[in-house]
Amino acid sequence: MIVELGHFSTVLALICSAMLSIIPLIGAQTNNVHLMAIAKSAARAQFLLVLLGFLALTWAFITNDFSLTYVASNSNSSLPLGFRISAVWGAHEGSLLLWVLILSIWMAAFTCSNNDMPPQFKARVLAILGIISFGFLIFMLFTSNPFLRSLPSPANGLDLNPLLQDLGLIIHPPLLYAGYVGFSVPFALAVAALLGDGVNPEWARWTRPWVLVAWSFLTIGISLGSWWAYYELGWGGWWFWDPVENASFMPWLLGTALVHSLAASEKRNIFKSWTILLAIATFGLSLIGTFLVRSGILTSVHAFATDPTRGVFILAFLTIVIGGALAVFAAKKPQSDPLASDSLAARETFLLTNSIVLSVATATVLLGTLYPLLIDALGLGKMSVGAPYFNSVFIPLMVPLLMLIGFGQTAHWRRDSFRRLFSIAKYPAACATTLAIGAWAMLEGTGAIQAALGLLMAFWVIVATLKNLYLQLSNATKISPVRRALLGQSVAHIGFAVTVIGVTLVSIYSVEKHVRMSPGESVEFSTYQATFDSIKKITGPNYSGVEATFNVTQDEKVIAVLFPQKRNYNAGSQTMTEAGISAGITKDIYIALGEKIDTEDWGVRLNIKPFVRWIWFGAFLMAAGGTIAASDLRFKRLNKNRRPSAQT
Amino acid sequence: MKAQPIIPIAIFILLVALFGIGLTKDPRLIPSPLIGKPLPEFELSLLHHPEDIVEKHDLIGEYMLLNVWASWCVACAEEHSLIVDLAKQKIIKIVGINYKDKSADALRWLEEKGDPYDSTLVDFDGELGMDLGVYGVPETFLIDPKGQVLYKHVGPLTLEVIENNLLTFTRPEQ
Amino acid sequence: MMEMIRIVVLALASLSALSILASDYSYTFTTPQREMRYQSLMEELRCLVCQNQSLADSNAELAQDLRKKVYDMITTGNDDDQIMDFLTDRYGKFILYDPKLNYENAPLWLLPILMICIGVYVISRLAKQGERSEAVIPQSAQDDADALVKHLEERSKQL
Repeated sequence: MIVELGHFSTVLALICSAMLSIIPLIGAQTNNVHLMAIAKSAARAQFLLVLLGFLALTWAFITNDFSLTYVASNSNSSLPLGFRISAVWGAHEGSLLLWVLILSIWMAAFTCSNNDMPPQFKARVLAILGIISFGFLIFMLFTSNPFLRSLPSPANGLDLNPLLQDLGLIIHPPLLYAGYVGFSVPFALAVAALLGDGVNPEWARWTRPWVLVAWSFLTIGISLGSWWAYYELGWGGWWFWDPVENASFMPWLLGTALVHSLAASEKRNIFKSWTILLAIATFGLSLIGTFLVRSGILTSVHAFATDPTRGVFILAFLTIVIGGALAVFAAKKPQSDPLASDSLAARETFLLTNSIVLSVATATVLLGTLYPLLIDALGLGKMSVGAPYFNSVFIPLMVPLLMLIGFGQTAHWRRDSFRRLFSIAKYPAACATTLAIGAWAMLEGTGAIQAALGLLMAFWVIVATLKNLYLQLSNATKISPVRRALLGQSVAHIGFAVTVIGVTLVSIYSVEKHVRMSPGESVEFSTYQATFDSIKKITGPNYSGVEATFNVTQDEKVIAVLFPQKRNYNAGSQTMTEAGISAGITKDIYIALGEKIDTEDWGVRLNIKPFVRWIWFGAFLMAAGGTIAASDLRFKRLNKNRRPSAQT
Repeated sequence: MKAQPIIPIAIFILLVALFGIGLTKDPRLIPSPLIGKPLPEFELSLLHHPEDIVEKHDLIGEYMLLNVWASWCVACAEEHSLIVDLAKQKIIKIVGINYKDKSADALRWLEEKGDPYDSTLVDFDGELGMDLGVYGVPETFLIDPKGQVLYKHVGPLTLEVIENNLLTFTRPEQ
Repeated sequence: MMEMIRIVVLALASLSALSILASDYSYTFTTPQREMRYQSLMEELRCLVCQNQSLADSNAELAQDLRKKVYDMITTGNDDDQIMDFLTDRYGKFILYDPKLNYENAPLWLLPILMICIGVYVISRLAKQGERSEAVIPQSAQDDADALVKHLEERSKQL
């Protein structure tokens, strides 16, 4: 009954979104206040209705209602409650509902933004978001409905894929979607601007916090995915350039470019067309990502159980939404502005370069991801493009980016000189070089030069950012207080450098060893010794398996005791490897069981992962920086005495 | 900075076209590089007569199907009845290759489900499988009288595949 | 069609779940170069069963067989090209993760370079536009500005 109510509620939401898509747009065109006001109520109503639907589905999972096909395919009565709830978004149908819910939350949040946006603009933004909701709701209700029942209902369900029975599933998709889907707001803001008064600094000021918050969510979402893969998949990898990972990374890259381009649009009213294009493209990549994951055209560990007919629908939807936006762009393109800086060393140049580098990076990742498909489509057979390719093209692009951060954040708008920039850079550069040489002295092996270079870049960014922050703080006056935007920017840039440190060190200095061990045996790896102490049988709520005990020592001192497991899940008879991890600031010790060999022996993978946690900590800093920047007071309603934006 | 609308629109159209074509393809299927090449050499024993060794030249000379299967393979059971039926019609010689299996299990499996094979070779360690590029049983190859590989099908056979791909040699050239 | 795909996946899954033969954990090499070659080949070769993992990471049985094969080939003195030819003769170029430069995948390498060139071009156009004298603010103007700021600060302190 509750499920039927939820289903009905979702259908009502569909009707709301239809109204939202049409009426406010007419209102904006005809300047009819009443019609435009519908937008706010329709958006909020849609949110409530979708929420009810979502809660109803959750209820079905909690109460083990296996008459719903979706619940039966993804849950089981012995599944712990927490996972039963997260199973709501464990597969395609439910995750679509989550997508729509999060979109509705963003829409409702937008209705609450109390600032000086003109009503036509607001109405248009909500209407565009309504169109997107409508598309997804129709898609869900007609091709991927989680509320469908199948009778007679099975006694029990198939259980959630063991890979997903994890904390990671509980938090990664919602946060990732919050980011992914969140870029629909800048998209709507961009198209609304095209339909209305166009791009101006005010529009940029309105848009920036939305971009920053969506970007922060996406940063967290992606890094959670990486962390989850690291400890869950059992071999210590944290990024695989898997098509689905790339699908979330590309909006992130372009979203970063968008943040920076918006700064220029806000401060100097330039890069207008480019910013709009970035906003459209970023969300476009989100939709493309949704398409890639659910259509089955690319193989991926992440892909949902797929169906090409669903792919057709998403592709059609994607074409309409993005194609429509591009058509509006072509029709109403903002005036192309002359490059408005007087010198090459001005901040505009750095921001432009930032956009270029990030766009090239995005395009390259897209190329690599789709190239096998292209070759297949042309009938030239099947080829593979994997991590070796992506690493060799992506990493070199990051080097100029890192170098430029240090200069760009100090450069003045419109007019600056390289002489001034270099003189400011002298001390940080020297500091960074000293630190890098020091690090190089401590590192060994053939990768030491590479590692030192990566560290040099990262140290440079950190020291230059700190110096810039210090300079701005000491120049701060009542007239031009240091804004949160500057603080956020600094934290985010430092976060990026921290991630680079983690990536550099873990990529070059990971130690991996596969050995065959029997209980009682010891093995040396790196400077440690691991002893396979014992192994015992274990049972969990919905699995049974074995757990091994490993003592890790260094110079006779016990560093860690690890308990890697091998689990066999009852319902699906899948085997999972749970690694034993000793997490640390400067390294992780990571041990996983491979296969059983003969009666006693096991294959064991032993890993040392230096500084791997820095990758995710850096991402956390980036997201924190983005959030701090978004909370900058200048984004709120301006006071009566309009203060001109001071230098950031 | 200028941004000509035509460029992103063109890129977008290309992407959509690519995706559209991509929807008609299956990314997991890997085409075989053996098509048009000779069957690899091998030296394997027979399942029913382990003391007899069979080599490539013993086998070729007429059109035949090589069906790679194993008793532990769930999908092989699904296609097996089709192969048994096909064998009864005596259109084409069917040779089985028992892949990485225990012979006792294999013999029992054939007894239970029927033995459509003219002969069954035992590829215990998967060497022939590797030479054939086997990556997922069951797989079926169409071999011509000269020992050339004409076609490979990955996955369980269906009537459609048998009719349209494997038995094409029986039709006169058009 | 969907049914078939599901069945193939089932078949592949059942193949990967099995492990009759001993695994490869005791591979030793006569020289460190050989070990390094083995490691890097393992990263560059794709598992056909678990198609999103390299041979280094995959636990599928076919991956184990292929690891053994590569190990055997290295130990008997084959070089990397011979090993990769052996594998592509049987499995096609799908098995190689690192597309070696040839006509087919030239775009993969050329397009990024092309895009970078375009980017550099855009920036150089900016350079031509802005190649005026680098901004130097005359000292008198700087003094005036400083005085104004001081004045405003004092005013705001009084508020």
